[in-house]
Amino acid sequence: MFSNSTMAIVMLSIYALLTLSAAIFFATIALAIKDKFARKKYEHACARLKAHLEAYIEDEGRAEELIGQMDGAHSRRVVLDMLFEHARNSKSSLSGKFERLGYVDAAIDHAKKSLDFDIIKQICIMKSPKAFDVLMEGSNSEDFELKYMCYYALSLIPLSQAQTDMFVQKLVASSILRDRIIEMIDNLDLDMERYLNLLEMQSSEIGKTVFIRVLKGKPGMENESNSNRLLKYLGDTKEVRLAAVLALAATGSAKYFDNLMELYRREGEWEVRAAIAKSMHDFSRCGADVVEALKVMTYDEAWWVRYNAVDVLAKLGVEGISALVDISLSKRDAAVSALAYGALNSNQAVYYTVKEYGVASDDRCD
Amino acid sequence: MTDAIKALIGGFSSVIFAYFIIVNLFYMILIAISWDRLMEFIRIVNSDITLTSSYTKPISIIVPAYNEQETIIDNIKSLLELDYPLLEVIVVNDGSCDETLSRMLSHFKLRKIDLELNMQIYCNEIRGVYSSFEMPNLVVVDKVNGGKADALNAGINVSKYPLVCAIDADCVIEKDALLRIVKPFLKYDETIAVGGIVRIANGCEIRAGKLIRARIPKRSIEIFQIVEYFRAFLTSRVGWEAMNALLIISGAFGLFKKSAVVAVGGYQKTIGEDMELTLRMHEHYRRNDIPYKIEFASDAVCWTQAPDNLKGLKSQRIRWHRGLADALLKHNKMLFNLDYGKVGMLSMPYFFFVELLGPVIEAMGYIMLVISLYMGFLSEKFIYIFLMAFLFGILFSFSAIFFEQISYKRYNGLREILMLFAFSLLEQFIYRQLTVWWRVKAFWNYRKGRKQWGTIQRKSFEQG
Repeated sequence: MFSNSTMAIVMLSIYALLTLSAAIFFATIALAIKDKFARKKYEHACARLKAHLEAYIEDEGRAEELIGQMDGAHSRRVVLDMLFEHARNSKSSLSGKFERLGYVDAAIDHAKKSLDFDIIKQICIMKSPKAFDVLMEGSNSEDFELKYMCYYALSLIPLSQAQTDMFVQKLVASSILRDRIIEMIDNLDLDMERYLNLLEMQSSEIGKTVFIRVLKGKPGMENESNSNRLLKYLGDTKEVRLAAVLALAATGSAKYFDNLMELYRREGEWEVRAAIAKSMHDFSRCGADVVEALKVMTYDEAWWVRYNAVDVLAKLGVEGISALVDISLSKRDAAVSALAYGALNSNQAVYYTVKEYGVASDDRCD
Repeated sequence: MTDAIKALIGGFSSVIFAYFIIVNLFYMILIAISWDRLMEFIRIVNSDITLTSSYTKPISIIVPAYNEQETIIDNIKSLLELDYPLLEVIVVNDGSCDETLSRMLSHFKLRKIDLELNMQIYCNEIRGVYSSFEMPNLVVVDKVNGGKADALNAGINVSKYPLVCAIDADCVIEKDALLRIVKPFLKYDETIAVGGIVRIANGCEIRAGKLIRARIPKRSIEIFQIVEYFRAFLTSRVGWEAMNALLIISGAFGLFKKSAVVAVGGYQKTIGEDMELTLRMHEHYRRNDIPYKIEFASDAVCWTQAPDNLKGLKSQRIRWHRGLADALLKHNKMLFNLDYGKVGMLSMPYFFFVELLGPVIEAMGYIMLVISLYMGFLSEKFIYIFLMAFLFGILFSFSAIFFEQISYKRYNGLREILMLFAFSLLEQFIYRQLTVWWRVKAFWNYRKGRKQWGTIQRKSFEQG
């Protein structure tokens, strides 16, 4: 049936498979046992070093005492992990404390030789500005994951002005997703003037969009001298206009209500009009005639604009509810009336009021 | 006559042997790729500095439910408590005959609402949409029965967020699973779907819809399935994902870009609607040269109830195999088609010749073994070849257990690990042949299957 050479292959395969299976079995068991012992050893080291580490965190002068207890690579790693844990829990920068124990330089040396995920994480938690160069270098990596982590770590470490400029320029031109760039730029936690200056340095659509989105709702934006600097972006590309609409509306200033209404009237892109409709809620406390504006928008040709307008009206209290009642009873457009009715029906206050009224009517009938 | 049979068996044996060698070599390569990808993935996950980030994308969870009265309340509660900044839970009652709807309505105090539906894909008539003011992120849709695919389409039409997550009603999702499964969508614009890993909940300690402790179940039939799931997810899907040629996002837990699902027309009424949708996405995106990624997040965990008796298991396996056949045959134009890249040249042939036809070929091997034995010409060589086949099976199972132990270590007691190894050995006898037989039956009768819901008897998790 089978030639001898085939059978030789079969027999060889059987031995190989048996050996391989046995090796995998023993490796798995060894791994489980090793893990168990490693956990115990780790817990023991934690218990031994904890008091010394806490003393060092309280008083950096007690570094020598801690170093004296760190006998070998294992206990160095344990102290590093405990410091990480402390930095995470206290949400504070322990950069100096890592530095004094030699962890920062060791991590940067390691990263220069071979940059991996673990070392990026370490650098990121240590928050040392010394890591800037090595992370910038890493952001050139062809490995997307590595590049991505480097950018993210850069956004979390303190940077000088020149370093921030370099980082932002590179980040905005990178292949990182826009929303993630916004998050990273927000992580930089700069002051308002710096953000505005950086925005004005941007020439690309993505650059302008991310900075305007970062600025949205930032403390200081309610100051007109700052927010006025965004007005010019209402005449830019669609994405930039959209971001500017949301950022200006977030200030809640009546001044921008007129700017946005003017834009609404001439705006050809429904996404921008939908954003304007949604942003009307932000102007509800500034005395602008938001209800009238929204009534117009409920008859927009685009569904999302109509939906946002109705949705905002439902949130505007009695005045908005009254407008929705009028729209729901109007015969101008059945679809819009149905939309308004739906919004009324899903409004908690309206629902309970109608329910109460219904119960009272029933009582009277009885 | 005997000589003719002998010659016939000899010829067949050579063909089967060649097939078997090619398949196992291919599988070895797949394991090697999976190993590489899994290790890289674990390194990334363990050092992910973005895990603490509050940036996510809103998700609409869609739970299609048909006669799920035993588990539905716990399931909804656990979904509402998931760690995720912005989500809505849409439960679609697909015309259940039991108390699924009434239990939901009374437990969560829901009321009927008027909702303007954005009907982007076809689904059967929606009889009502229910929500409550106290729990605005829970929506219950009641619709005319139309099968799981139809229920998912209804959920997509009701959903308001850009990402939709399909979850089975009998599953428990780990608290941070959504934060993990969404990661690829936050990194790559081309991501259109991500599958989570499915693990077996039988035997685990689960309270109020939350997993307290993972444990090995008591019944053999359940333990066999744990090993099978390890193999399917850790040594197979991880590898296919590395090649962007993953053909299945499990219906139990998968996250999709809504616009991508709508672009291909939503779910289709078929037995294996999850696989069919994934195949249709591959076909659409590759045919139109649109860059895309279909990923697998092995750290995003969903615990599911596996059948705990032969009847349930048989029904499930027959349904799965019919689903596989249906989906592959519907998209057979991708098979060996260079235009579809790795999907056409690697994963489609693999699923076609190994997953679909494999059981038939294996069954032929068993038949030949019996005939040879009966007619008295069973040679030692034949036995060795069978032994080799079993050893390959054992090796793959052992590799899967090793992968689990080196990565996620959900079962970390030494006794539990030893049990898994023992059941990997036992699996080769009776259990393997039984599943082969069911799949062969499903293969021949695949068109006869109802394109409706499966009939596994659900139990409450505390009970299970």
